Amino acid sequence: MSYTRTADGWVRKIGTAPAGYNPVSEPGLPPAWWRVNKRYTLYMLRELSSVFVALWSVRLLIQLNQLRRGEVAYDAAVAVQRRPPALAFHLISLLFALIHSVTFLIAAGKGPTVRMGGRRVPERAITVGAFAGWAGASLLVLLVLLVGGRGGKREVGGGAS
Amino acid sequence: MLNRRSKEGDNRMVSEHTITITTARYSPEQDAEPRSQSYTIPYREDMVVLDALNYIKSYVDGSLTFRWSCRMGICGSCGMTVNGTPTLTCASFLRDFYPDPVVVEPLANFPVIRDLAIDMSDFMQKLSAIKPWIIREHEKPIADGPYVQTPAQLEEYDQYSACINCMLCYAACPVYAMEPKFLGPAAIALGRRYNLDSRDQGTRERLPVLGATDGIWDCTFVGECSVVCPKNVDPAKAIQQTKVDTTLDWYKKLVLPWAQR
Repeated sequence: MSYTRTADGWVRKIGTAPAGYNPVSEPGLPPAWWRVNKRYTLYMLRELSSVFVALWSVRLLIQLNQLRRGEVAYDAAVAVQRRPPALAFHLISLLFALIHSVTFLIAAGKGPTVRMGGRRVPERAITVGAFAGWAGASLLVLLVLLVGGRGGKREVGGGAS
Repeated sequence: MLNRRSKEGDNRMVSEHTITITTARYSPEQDAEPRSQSYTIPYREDMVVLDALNYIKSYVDGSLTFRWSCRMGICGSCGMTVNGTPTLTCASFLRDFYPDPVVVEPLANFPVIRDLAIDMSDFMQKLSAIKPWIIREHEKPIADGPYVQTPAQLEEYDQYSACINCMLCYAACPVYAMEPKFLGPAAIALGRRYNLDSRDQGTRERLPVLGATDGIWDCTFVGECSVVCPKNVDPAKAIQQTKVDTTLDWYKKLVLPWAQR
């Protein structure tokens, strides 16, 4: 058995085929394979989500760098973020981040074997626990942002006056 | 056997309802590429796709070629693509499709030998590469009795031991379709099954195959292998767990190079 890569993708070759034995191969994947079922489509969206997560992270790093450069540079960066194209990018990134998080946490149950009290923790329990942890962490971040945001506003307001 | 009782079979199959079965056909002597052929046959609610194929072969077209053996989900021979999904045809009821036609094709990602029969030699080669048997460094003398195992030790690998080598997972795997060198879901699940077996001492022999680039690391966790698996083996889980284990093992060797595995 050997493989050769052609313009259409990989093709299996049967090296020692007996006479009259002439199997046909469908090389590679059809271009629309990911539309065959919803799970393939979700998989492709999950893979694509990493692009948006990465782009958003780069954006965050740029904004942090602007913060390091001073108030004027930072305010200019914030103003750019409030423009419609940037808001659309944030919204799309948020949707992909949600897809990324949900699919990752569903997959968490298939990771390492977790034991408690000498017994294996069921896959479903790990997944539910992961979602609960995610919700808890998100709530905590939200609280910090709300409380910190209010405090920050007062401070900025005080400085401006 | 069906031919012998053909009259009885004809009588039993009398039905006012019919269903159309469209199958892929390929004869290497005549066809340059696969074609399709439709058969309209009597429909009964308790028929599975394999029954329909056997009806066609027995009473309509004896040249239709397909594999089957046990017809009860044990042998893993009758895996085909039914309406686009890799399925055991003995476990796929026509009533789930009726009155729509049913399209039966060979398992995807394998070369087709004839009609619905695929060439499984690539899988057999990969299966033997992971040494799916218990390997011992030193065999116990028979006089010492059997290798005893606790229920907890059995539970460790039990799920993965249910694999019937039906190859549905290979047909569902887009990674295997793109990268034929990929070891594939069933072979990895079975490798893990033996690595987790308390009686086995062959992990070090299997790791070079499992941990190679074309082993677990080719998998991008599409997860469709576990969806189509008729025995709930969950090969995707076996692959992800083996990734975690081999990564931890690699770090352990990096941090503690003197430590024995």
